[in-house]
Parts: sequence; C-alpha cells; structure tokens
Amino acid sequence: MTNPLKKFRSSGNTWFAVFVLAVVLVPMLGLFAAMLRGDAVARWGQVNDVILDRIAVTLILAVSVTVIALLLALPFALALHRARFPGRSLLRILYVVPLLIPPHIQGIAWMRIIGKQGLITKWVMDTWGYEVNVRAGIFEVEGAPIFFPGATWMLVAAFWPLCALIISAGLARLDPRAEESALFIPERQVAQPRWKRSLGDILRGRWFLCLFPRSHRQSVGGVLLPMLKPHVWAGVFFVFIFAAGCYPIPALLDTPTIMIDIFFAASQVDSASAGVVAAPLVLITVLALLWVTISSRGQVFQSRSTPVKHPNSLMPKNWALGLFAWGLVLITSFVPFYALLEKAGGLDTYRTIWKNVEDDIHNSFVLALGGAVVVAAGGLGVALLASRMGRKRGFMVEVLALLPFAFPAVVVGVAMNRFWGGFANATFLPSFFRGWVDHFIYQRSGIYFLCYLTLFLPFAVRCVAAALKLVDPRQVEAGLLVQRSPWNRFCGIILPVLGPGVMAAFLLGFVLSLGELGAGLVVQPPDSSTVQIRIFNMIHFARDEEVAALCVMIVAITLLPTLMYSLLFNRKVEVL
Amino acid sequence: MRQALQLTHVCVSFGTQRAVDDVSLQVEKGEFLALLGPSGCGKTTLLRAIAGLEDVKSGEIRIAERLVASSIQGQNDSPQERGVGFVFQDLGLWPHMTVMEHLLFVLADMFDKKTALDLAESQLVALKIDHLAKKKPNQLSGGESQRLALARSLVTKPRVLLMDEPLASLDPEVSGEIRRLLREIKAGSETTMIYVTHTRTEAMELGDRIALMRDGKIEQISKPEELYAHPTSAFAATFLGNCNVISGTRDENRRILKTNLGDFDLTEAAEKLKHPCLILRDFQITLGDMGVEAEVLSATFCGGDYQLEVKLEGQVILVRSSKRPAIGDRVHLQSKGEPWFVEGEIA
Repeated sequence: MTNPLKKFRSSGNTWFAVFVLAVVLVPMLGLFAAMLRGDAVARWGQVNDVILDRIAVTLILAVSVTVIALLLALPFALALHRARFPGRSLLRILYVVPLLIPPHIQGIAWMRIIGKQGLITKWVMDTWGYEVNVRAGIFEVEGAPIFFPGATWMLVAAFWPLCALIISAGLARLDPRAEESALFIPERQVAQPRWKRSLGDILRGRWFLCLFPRSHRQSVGGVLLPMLKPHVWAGVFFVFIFAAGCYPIPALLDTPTIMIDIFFAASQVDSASAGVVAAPLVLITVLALLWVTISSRGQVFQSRSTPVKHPNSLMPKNWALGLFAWGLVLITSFVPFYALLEKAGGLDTYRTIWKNVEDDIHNSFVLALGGAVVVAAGGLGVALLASRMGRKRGFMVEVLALLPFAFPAVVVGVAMNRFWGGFANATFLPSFFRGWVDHFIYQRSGIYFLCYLTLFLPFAVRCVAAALKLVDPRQVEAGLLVQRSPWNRFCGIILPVLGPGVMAAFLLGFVLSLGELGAGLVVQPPDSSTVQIRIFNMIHFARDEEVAALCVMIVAITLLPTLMYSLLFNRKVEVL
Repeated sequence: MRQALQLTHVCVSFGTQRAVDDVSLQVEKGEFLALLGPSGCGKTTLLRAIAGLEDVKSGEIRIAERLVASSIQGQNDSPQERGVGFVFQDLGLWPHMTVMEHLLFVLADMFDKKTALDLAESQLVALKIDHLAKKKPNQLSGGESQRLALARSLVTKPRVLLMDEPLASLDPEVSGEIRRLLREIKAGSETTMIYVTHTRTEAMELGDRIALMRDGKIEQISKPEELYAHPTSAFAATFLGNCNVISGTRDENRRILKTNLGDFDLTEAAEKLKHPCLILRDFQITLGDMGVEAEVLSATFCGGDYQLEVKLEGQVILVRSSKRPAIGDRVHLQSKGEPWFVEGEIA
C-alpha cells in the first residue's frame, strides 16, 4: 500500500527537518574538518600509545558493560513479557527508574555502597578484614590494569534498563501465534539429562532458559530469541555507545577511559585536539551504528505495530524469573536510592541545600523544559520527513537522525562550543548577527538547547517514528477524501494518533536534559549553571550529605513526570 | 471405535465472562468435526482449551482416552504433551526460518538428522511444496503459507489436528484448493481433525459432523445433512442456510399450526413443543397462481435463479423464483416439501 503520508506534502516541514539535521550535524562535521586543517600532522601525533591504551580500556569497559547488561536485560525483558508473577505490572513502570537517574548520581549512590566509606565496604572490612577498592582495576598488561570492576558495575546498573527497554518493545510486538506454534513440538524422545541441557544453555549464554518450564524452552530458544535478534542488537548497540561515551562515572572513579582525555583536551588545549583524541572512538561507534542499522534493515519480525496482549499460554507462572526481575530492580533502583536517602539524613539537609541551589534547580528545570520542547519538535519534524520519503531516502534520513548517537556528550559539547563560538567571533559576519549568536546562543541557554537537541534527537525520532507506524493508512486516505486542508487533516487525524509518541519524546527530552552533564560541563556559559554541574562540582568538596540530598531531590523531580505519564496515559515507556 | 477426543462439561472463563460453557462432546478416531458458529461464540477458545493453550476452569479433556486436563484432578498437560497439531488462523509461521527449517526444527528433537530430513522432505512432497524448501514465509503466497502451516502440524503425525479458521484470509480459488487438500489428507490418514469455521459451506463440505456453537455452548451436533434438514432451533436453522422462521397459533386440537402462510399439520415431535415455529427454507416457498398474496420488496440474481424478499402481513419472507418480478408486484406464495418445526424463541 502506498504510504498516504507521502501525500502530506509540506515544504515547511521539509525545511524545518533539514534545518534540525543541519543544526545537529554541521557542528560535528565542522569539528572533524578542523582536525585536518592547520598543523594536522602535529595534532594527529597526539594519538599516541597512551591514547590507544585509553581507547583499549574504554572498549574493554564498554564491551564488558554491554555483555553483562545484556545477560541481565534479556531475561528481565523475558520475565516482563513471558512470565506471570506478582507485581509484574508495577515492575514494568519501575524498571526504567535507573535510566531516569543521571549516571553521575548513580555513581555517587553506588559510591555510598561500594566506595571507600560505603555500606558494603564497611561490612566486608568488619566481617572479613578485606578492603574493597572500587577504583581499582584488575588484569594488568605491562603494569597497567585494563579491567575496572567498579566502573563496569556502575555503568551496568545505569544502562541495563536501556537494553531491557528496547528488547521489551520488541517482545511486546512479536506475533504470539509464531511462539504458540512452537509449544506443540513434541518433547525429545531420546532422554537427555537435564543438567546436560542446562549446561549447554549456560555455555551458549542462554542461562535464563533454565528458568523457563521445559514446555516453553523450544518456543523461547528456537523461535522467540531468533525473532528478537534485531532488538537485541539494537539494545546491545545503545548500551555500548552509552557506556563508551559516559564521562561522569569514569571521572568519579578515576577510570582511565578516553573520555577523560577528551575532556582534558577540550578544556586545556583546543577543540580540534579534543576532536583528534575522540576521533578513533567516534569512528568505531559510527561504524557500529551503520552496521547495526543496515544489518537489521528488513529483519524486524514484528507482525504488529501496536503491542499485543500475549495469551497466558506464553506466560506461564514463573516465580524464578519473577524473583530475578524483582531482585534486579531492587538492587539497581532502590538500593542506591536508599543509600542516598540514608546519607542525606534529616529534612534540615534538604532545606539547606535547597536554599543554596534554588537558582540552579530553577535554571535546570527551565532548560530541561525548553530542551524537551526543542527535542520533541525536532523529532516530530525529522520523523515526519523520513516517513514521507521513499524507502531508501527515508532510511537515509533515519540514519542521519541516529548519527548523533555515535558522538559522546563531551564531544558534542566541544563541537557546539567551537561552532557557535566561531560564529560569535567571525569578523566577516554582520555585527548584529554575531551579537545575536553571542547573546542568545553562545553565552546563554541556547547552547544548552542545541546540545540537548543533538544528544537526544535520535530518541525523539524513534518515539515519533514508532507512533507514526500506528497511523492507519486507511484513516489518512479517508481524510484525503474530505474537503479539508492538509493542516486540518494533519491536526485532526494524524496528530491525535501521534500524541502519545510526541508526549513520550517530550518526556524523554525533559528527563534526559535534566540529567545531562557531559556536554553541559564543556559548554557552560558564565552566568548559566545547571544543577548537575553543581552536583559534580560539590563532589570535589566532599559535601556528601548535601550531594546526597540534592541527588534525592533531582531523582524525585525526574521521576514525578514519568510516573504521572505512565499512570495518566496508562502507557509503559516502551515507545522505543 | 476408540474415542480420539472426549470433552466432559468443559468450561473456560476469562474473568467473569464464560467463553465456553459446559461443553461435552466425543470425537471418534479419524473423524473430521467442524466447529461452526458466529464470531465470539467460543469456538476458538474451545479449540485452544483442547490444545492446552487455555486453562480449563471446570470439566475434563481426554485425548486418545488419556486424561490431559481435569479441574478436579488439577491436571493440565502442556500443549507438547498432548500430541496435537495446531493450525492458527494467522498461521504463526516462523519468519526467520525457511520452509525446510520449519519442519526440521519440529523434528530435530524427535529423530536423528537423516530421519528428520527424510520425513521433512516426504511431508513437503505430500503437500506439494517441496520446490519451496529454501524459501522463507515472506516469499510464499497465501496458499503456499497455508500448506506450510499444515505440513508443520502434520509432520509429527499428531493424534488430533486442530485448525482455527485456516482459510479465513484466502481468496475463494486458493481456499477451494486447500479444502481439496484437506479432503485428501483426511482420506489418506487416520488423523482426527477439528476444524473451526464460521462459514457454513466449509463446515458442510469438510465435516463428517458439525458442532454448532452459540454463546459458549454447543447448540446442536450432527451430520451436515441432518443439521440442515432437521435443526433443533431457529438459530441452527437460520445459521445453516437461508430460511424463514414463521410463528403461528395452534388450533384447539393443538395439531395444526395456523400461520400467515397457511395451516400446517404438526408432526408428532412438534406437538410436544411449547411454542412451535415453522421452518421453511427459501426454496420451499415458490411463486404460483394461488396461495397467499405478498408484495415483492427485492429480487437478487443468484446464478440459476432469483432470491426474492417479499412482505407478507408485516413479515419479510425469503422465496426462490426462476423469474424476476418487478419491485412492488403482488405475487402468490405456495409452500412445498416437508415442513419442519422448532421451539420458538421468546425474545
């Protein structure tokens, strides 16, 4: 069937979407073009053995985080969608909590548990006399450790729900009949010892199959998992990108990843040098992005664009999976939150910190709201443009919209600073234009909005694109037959269906903007700070109680709109 | 003869809604039973309960005389323990597997590789899709997909093959082709088949017996000819074919039913009915020179003849005619053949 959205020709939207993509991508291209200008040889000389070692540590860290996150997220998502146990519905809302808590706050919370003065550290010390050092690394090569369990765990705790979210979205849309068909396959005639089968599953990384009843193993292992592969790869990719590009947690734990060097180069040397240091990692992530996007093209085995209610036959009562799911959420959401609450102490701490950071909280809130509007609008424009294009060109637009995923937040900050700073100081431009850029973007909140748009546009595009798939072509075609303007038809027919998707994009934009730190640290204008920057700076002054109280307040502010959205719209945040 | 399937007082509920309500039936080995009924009457739920995809709230199910589900004994065998095959309405093919892989996946645990391959190949040949062995479901036509779904279900030689409206989405030509294939399978094997449909022609063509369902209960179960000729209710009569349900009053002796189409002698069985209604198929009423007068409302060409809607004292009656009268014409109606009586339904 011809895509009826193609008939909504709107040059306004096309120009808007092209503008959004240009605003997002041109500064990135500018940064990498700058690396080739001037004394390029000397600049590229910075990519020395130390930098290569840092890249190796970053990749080892990202890969280990990805593998562990997948081993947790896949069975968790299966528990949510292919098992029945008490509190499953509640869990479907709660598991995204770690995703809503900014990584550096997660880091601070986990430091309260496994840091030097942490609850578990003390307990281990008192019980066994063994000192846990969360910053330490293991598996040394030429005297330098290459694996950091503390940082790995904190990143896993912060990002596993991202993987679960994407797998979960896929699970909700798979054709239940394909799985039910596998339930009829007769059992193995030649008896195989249970331990042998379980061992085989564990060795193949499918340990969670041991938690399923025997009658469902073929359905899950043989049918569900292969059909879910594109979503699993997407989840793996996102966790890898986020883990590799995370600055705050390695900074907190002094983990020698490349992000520390990029930040150092940006603040101490120049933006082009920061780009050079970041280039190998960005190249790897761009290639990974292209590989995942192209290889999963046409491989998404979703029979329905809307989530389906899966029958009980596919969801046996499963206490083992239920315990695992609850345990994981309790450990990664509530334990760190409890640690923060415990450290913050009484209400006085909250009152004190509120007085000190009231302006920053207000500023952050306004910036996050503005960021959410920009992100949602940009996502809507680009998603509409992609849907109106043909298959090939639409795919190109989608890839372009996903490209910012490949750039770590610090690199985005560096690129934005360089690009808009260049505009503000470009003598060949009219002075009123330079003044405008300087006043509204470079020295003010505008630069934050542009960073948020760049960093979170891919999320918004995915949210709106998922909602666009729910628009019934027949409804649009019926609309085409009535004598209404394209704008009226868009508002009357398409927008109400897109509403939840746009709302989800807005909400994600708000939550992610509120928790953003990496880019904010780089672009921070003189008179505009955010609460995240404030928290990050406070850590260095060891004001632990105040930091903990502030983190609790930020988590509450972040969670409130998300939970309200879930309850009011009765929707899970499974729009990705 | 051995019972292939036995249901005893089976109930299936979703919350407070009872989808299958106290259903009891027996199906003999090798029999083809068509479960017929309107949408939402519980036929798919009943089929899924037999397969083990829905839990039985009360009652018990036996397959090949083995208890597979019993609310009293708390038994509920998984689908794979029941030895049944299932063809879903939307087929449920595995999009990531080729045609051959579909069958090999099913057989992999049961046989060694070579035997599995031989069995799969012979099944594909039997269903005439061996040339498609390397294709994936998205490369198959509707009929080919249907054959693959059947092959996958039959390759394990199930005791009972359950089919849930498998022809619903096919065009008439392909549907006819698959119906012929089903008849061939039925003739060539002893597999018992339960076939859910809401199309009476499919049920009458394929079913050795038809179980007519309504509101979760079995309204009537009998051979197609018997069900058509001697329905036990007005619902059964109208669902099986175009027919007129005409109410009337009894005379003093209670042996004659006076209707607006004339007087009819009640049969011995009909005399026992509380509120007998006359059942006349459309072809049992013809136009003639004599008889009661009615006004023509519409005439529809049906190939060989016309189906007329005529108005008789406020009631619309269906009539067959070889000629096409004009709308508004006055015609005379005559009944022919044996009339049949059912208990009238009180609204």
